[in-house]
Parts: sequence; C-alpha cells; structure tokens
Amino acid sequence: MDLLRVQNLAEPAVKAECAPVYWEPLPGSGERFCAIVIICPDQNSRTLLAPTAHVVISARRLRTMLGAERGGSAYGILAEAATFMTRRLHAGAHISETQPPFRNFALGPSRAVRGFTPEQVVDTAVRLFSAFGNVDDVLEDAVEVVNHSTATTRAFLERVQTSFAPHGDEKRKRFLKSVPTSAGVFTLDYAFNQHLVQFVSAPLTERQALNMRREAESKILEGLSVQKTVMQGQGALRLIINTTPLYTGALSQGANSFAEKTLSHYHSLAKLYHLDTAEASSHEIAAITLATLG
Amino acid sequence: MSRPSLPDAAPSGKALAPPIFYLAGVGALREGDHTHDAWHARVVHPDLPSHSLGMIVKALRSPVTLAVEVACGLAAKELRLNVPHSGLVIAHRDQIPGIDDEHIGERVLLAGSHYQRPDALFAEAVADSPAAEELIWSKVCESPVARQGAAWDELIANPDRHCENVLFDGSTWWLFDHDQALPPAATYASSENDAEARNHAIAYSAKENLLAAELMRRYRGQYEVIQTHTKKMTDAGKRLQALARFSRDWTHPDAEIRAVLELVGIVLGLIHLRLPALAEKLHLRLGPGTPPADLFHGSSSRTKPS
Repeated sequence: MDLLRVQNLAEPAVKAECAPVYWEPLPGSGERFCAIVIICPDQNSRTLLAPTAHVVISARRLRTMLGAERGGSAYGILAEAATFMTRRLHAGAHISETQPPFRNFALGPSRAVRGFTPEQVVDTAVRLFSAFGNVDDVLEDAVEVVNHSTATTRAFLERVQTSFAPHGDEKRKRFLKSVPTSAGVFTLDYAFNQHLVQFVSAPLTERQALNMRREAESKILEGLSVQKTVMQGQGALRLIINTTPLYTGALSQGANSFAEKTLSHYHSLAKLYHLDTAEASSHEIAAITLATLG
Repeated sequence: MSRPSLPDAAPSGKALAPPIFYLAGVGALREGDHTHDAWHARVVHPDLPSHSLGMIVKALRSPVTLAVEVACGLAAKELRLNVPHSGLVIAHRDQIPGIDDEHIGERVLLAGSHYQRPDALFAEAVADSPAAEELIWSKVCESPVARQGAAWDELIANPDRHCENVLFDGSTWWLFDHDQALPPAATYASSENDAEARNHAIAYSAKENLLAAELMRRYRGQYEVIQTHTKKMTDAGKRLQALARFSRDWTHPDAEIRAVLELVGIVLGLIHLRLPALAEKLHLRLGPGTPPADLFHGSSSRTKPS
C-alpha cells in the first residue's frame, strides 16, 4: 500500500449514535422486525445529523410485503410511532429514553457509527439493524441537519462558510447561529448585525423538490420568527438560493421543470413575506453576496 | 385476497344469528394492568369457512358484564360507530393461558372484540407514559371519533375511557372496552318490568365522560358538534330497536350461553331506551352555562385501566 496515501487518510468525522426499534405486529407471535432506526448526532461530529427516528421500510415496500390494507396499516402505525419518537428527541430526550408510544415495540441497545459523509452514517445505521430496510428511502429524509437543511444545502453552506472565512476566523461564527426566542430555539444559516440569511437549494427530482420546499418554508418561518421576536420586526431577512445543482450537468426536461417550479415557489414566498432573494450559481458567489451585506 | 367478513348482522327483518365465535388457538395475554385479563386471539365462525378473525377476548366473571360488553359492540355497529364488533367467544380453558381460577370449568365464555378491518394491524398505547397518553388524546380528539365517542360514552354511561382502550389501525382510531358501562344493567336485568329500576337505568349518568372532557378542554364549540352526532345516533334508533327486538329471539342449547344471550338482548333494549334522553344528558353535562366543575367531574388522567 502506498504509504503516502495512508498518511493522507483522515478519520471519518461524521459521527452519530443509533438504535433499532423492533416491532412485533402480532402480539404474542414472537415475530418481530426492525421497523425504525433512531439516529442522533454525536456532539463531536463534524456534521450534526438531525436527531430523528426513521421508518426504515417504505410504505410501498410494506404494501408489497404485506398487502395493501395490512401494509398501509403498518406504515401508518410506524409513521405515528416514529414522529412521536422524533419529537421526544427534539425535546431533549436521550436516545435510550425515547420509548415508542405503542405496545409491542422495543428499543434495542444503541451503537456508535461514523462515516465520511452523513449518507455513510445513515447507510451504516440502517444496514446494521435491518434486513428489510431500504437505505435509499431513508437517505433523502435522513440527511437533514439540525436547522432542517437538506444535504444539498448543508454541503453548499459548508463551502460558502469556507469561502467566506477561509482562515477559520471569527467570521465563521456567523453561520448556523442558534437563536433562543419566546417561541423556541431557531437556527439561522447566517446572522450578523441586522442581516439574517437563510439558504435553500434548487431541486433536481420530485422527491428533492418536496423536501426542499419544506426546507424553504421552514427556514422562512424560522427567520421571520427571529425577526419578529428578537429583532422586534427590524433587520433584513434574505433568502440565498443555491442553484449550483442546475449547472452540474445536462438537465432532463423533468428536472428542469421541478427546478423552475420550485424556484418560482421560493420567489413567490419571499415576495409574500417581504424577503430579498439572491440566486447563487456557486458558493463563491454566495460568499460575495454575504460580504456585500457588511 | 378477499377480505374475511361475516354476513351483515344488521337486522333486516330476518332472523339474526347470535354472534357466537370459537377460539381457534391459544391466546396471547394482553400486556398491561387491566381490571380484566384479555388476550389477543384468533377466532372462527361457521359462516367463514376459509378464514379466522383476529379478536381481543376478555374474561369477565359476571354474565351481566359479559352481556354489556357484547351488547355495546353490537349496538355501536348499528349506530355506525368506530367501535370493534363484538361477540361471545367459546374457549377451552387451556386456550387461555393465565386465566383466573375464579373462572370455573373447562369451557369458558369470553367477550370478544372483532376488528372491523380484519386485515389491518393495531397498536395500543403503552402504559404509564404521560407523553404517549398525551399523543393518544391529541390524535383521538383531532379525529371525528372523539365527537361520536363522547356521545356514545354518554349513551352507555361509560366512565372508563382512557388511552389504553383506544386502538390505532394506522389511519383510524377505534374505541373499545365497555365492560364498565351501564352499571345499572344488573339491577335492570333482574327486574326489567319494575318501573323504578327501569327509570333509574334510563336516567343514570356516569360520574365522568372523559372523552367529552378531553374534547372540551382542547377545542372550542364542541358541544354543538357532539350534539350533531347525538342526532345521528337518535336517527339510527330504529336500527338499534330492531336489533334489540331480534336479539330477544336468540337461543342456544347450552343454558349458560342462552342466559348470556338473553342478557345481551335486555342490555340492547336498555341502550335503545336511553337514546331519547341522550341529548338532554349531554346538555346537562356539557351545555352552555354548565359550571366547569360539572363539566368534567375529574381530570384527564387515567384512574384504573380495565
């Protein structure tokens, strides 16, 4: 093995704690499977994954496995249980305290996992515990960080941060600011003086479009909440739209359509709530946009 | 796969077969601290030659309580409520692990709750978890089930509605467990023609209506919505009356089963007799101007599960 190459290898820096949740759908039968995987961030991780309980078997797969009625019923129960446990995690419960709300579910022992990317961590967590689980279905929803950024936005934001503050100085601290308000703690992608900025991304697929719309709506609401409660209506809230996915290769007609519709939605929302918008086709352009704010 | 379902038991004017099932295998004891032991089990019925049905079966010592549980399920079906269907389940003692010694004999009669969606799965809330309890109440109160359930619990004078006798099938919430309903049923059954016992059984109100209390605590303007469901129930009174009438013809060669079936008919008749006064009972409990203390009679917290 090439010694130089070995010396250059860094340790996987994305870390999390995960635990399986087993379900025995027919009480007393003894037949149980891993239905939910809980993933919580390790505070020493480079990227903080959002603490979430994921249903690891999609509704489609459950219907295929169990039939329409039973599969739909199973997914409804699992989704309700996972939502409940995610809320408990967000409320500060430790992974070991996140008991499911229904009987015949059992929380298994947690394990530490790590990877070079959030996707690797999620893949490891799901495959560690579940033979029936489908990582692809979980990934899109799983790779969201603490302020509800999608994986695309999160990666873009990291590049913007590096470009904006290449020397790791005080300017880096302007990113991912947690702001306590009377309505809870909100996270802003960038905050400095009177300037509040949230980042969103253009999608390439329908599923991405759903998640990214949700991200944008959530971030706008968080920004408005901080603006209203902490800044008493003052301050300028801006939306920077990461359009780099649109320039990374030839777009299909469908992808173009998803992107156009979603960008139009972002601009309409921003207009409705009196936000300035800026499209950034690269992280350098986004960094320059931030620098011009002062 | 075709969905297993029994012939509609609605009394269409024809003779109606009594709802008698047979336990098909050993039951699995239901978790939790319940007043009466219950099991998850499969049952069979001669009219379903190629299927078995999932049920929660419960061991009830008193024939009247057994009849109340079965009658409530049958009445709820006629009123089109989200309540599991019910039936009398005949079991061998060795099919019911852990059954109390007070149940004498090799054959045991059980009250069974039969899922209306036989192919669905069901979830029940865990015990002693305030967070889970809050989840169940909030979800049930968000759904129409709570409005009809509030009227239903008033109709059958059921003080025992807690988050452990609610089932979730992945999309809909179901109310079950009615063995503590209609406390005057025993006296009424023993002296059905006694005017005083009859009037008392009709006028009786439970100390609490927890579902109504939770609903009123969480949402405004629920009194009128609940009364809308009351009207729907009252409008369905003829179906209930017909069921009560036809059930009085139920018979069985076995004396013990026959006695329970007779009681089921009596309780069905009582539920029907209580229908006309339902709106007034709800008005007294929930209506405008009712002092809060009279509204709720207690907190939302569970007392003793059954």
